[in-house]
Amino acid sequence: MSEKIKINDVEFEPKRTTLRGWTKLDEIRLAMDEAISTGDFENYFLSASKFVEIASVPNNIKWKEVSWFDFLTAFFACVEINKPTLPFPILNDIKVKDEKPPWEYSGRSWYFWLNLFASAYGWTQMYIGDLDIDTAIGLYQELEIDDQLQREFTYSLSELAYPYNEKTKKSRYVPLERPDWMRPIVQKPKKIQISRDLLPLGIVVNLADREKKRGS
Amino acid sequence: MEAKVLNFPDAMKLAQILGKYIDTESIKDKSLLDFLDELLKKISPPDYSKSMLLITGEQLGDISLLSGEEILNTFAIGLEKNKIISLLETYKTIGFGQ
Repeated sequence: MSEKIKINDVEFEPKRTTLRGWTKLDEIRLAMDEAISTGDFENYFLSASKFVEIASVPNNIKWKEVSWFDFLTAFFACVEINKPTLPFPILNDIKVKDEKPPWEYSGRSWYFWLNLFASAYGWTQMYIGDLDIDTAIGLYQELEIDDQLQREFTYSLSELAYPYNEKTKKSRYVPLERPDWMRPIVQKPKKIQISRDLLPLGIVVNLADREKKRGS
Repeated sequence: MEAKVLNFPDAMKLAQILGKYIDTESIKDKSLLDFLDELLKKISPPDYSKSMLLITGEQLGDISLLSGEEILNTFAIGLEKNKIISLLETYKTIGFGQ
């Protein structure tokens, strides 16, 4: 349930958009990033206003007449309500994009999702467009897992998976690499109690504390 | 002449002008008066005029009719109305000026 905010005496209500709307927000987000990199306040504002309009219940607010802090309050309320609500591991798979592939274009995001779900489940454009973003990301992750496991199975049947080691004169199975988000979560090492008589003698300088002090 | 609460693009313009003189880390715990004192010691006359144009929305000719004290007063009220310390932090947080 979204909270209503009063802006210039008009009730403003952010709303969670569907997948179709979310892809538009994604495009706008890219335009905003572009505006930040060029220091273009007007374009940033125009894009952010569009973002707020898509992600809110229709209203008559003229954003040019709204104070900067009310505008940002509205904007961040819209951002917050349109975030995925579940901690999907696939979202942690951050790839640094060096450059855009030649087939990239503005507005492609929607066609990516449409192609993904239409080919996987045979759903219609309207049905896919009306999905919630949590459902979309959850299904996307499941499709990626299915694909990866299928690839691993196919790979395990090929000779490539069993490289021959000249030294041991044996072949050993080397599994296909998994993306980072599918790898086991690294646990913090357990704290081990060391007997007092095994501790070093004299004054012990805790380097971790020293680093902290230096940083502060 | 009254100081306005600025809309987003004008507020960012103001932050861009004043951000040159103030390090947001150093003003976190300061009062507005301390902030103003530090700012006035450093700000150049053209930037002071530009800030006043934004804060009042008036022409330079109209502003120059005011006394120095009135201008300073309007300037201080404008900074207060626009929550200048938060504005400078927000400007930086968004990623402008980097």
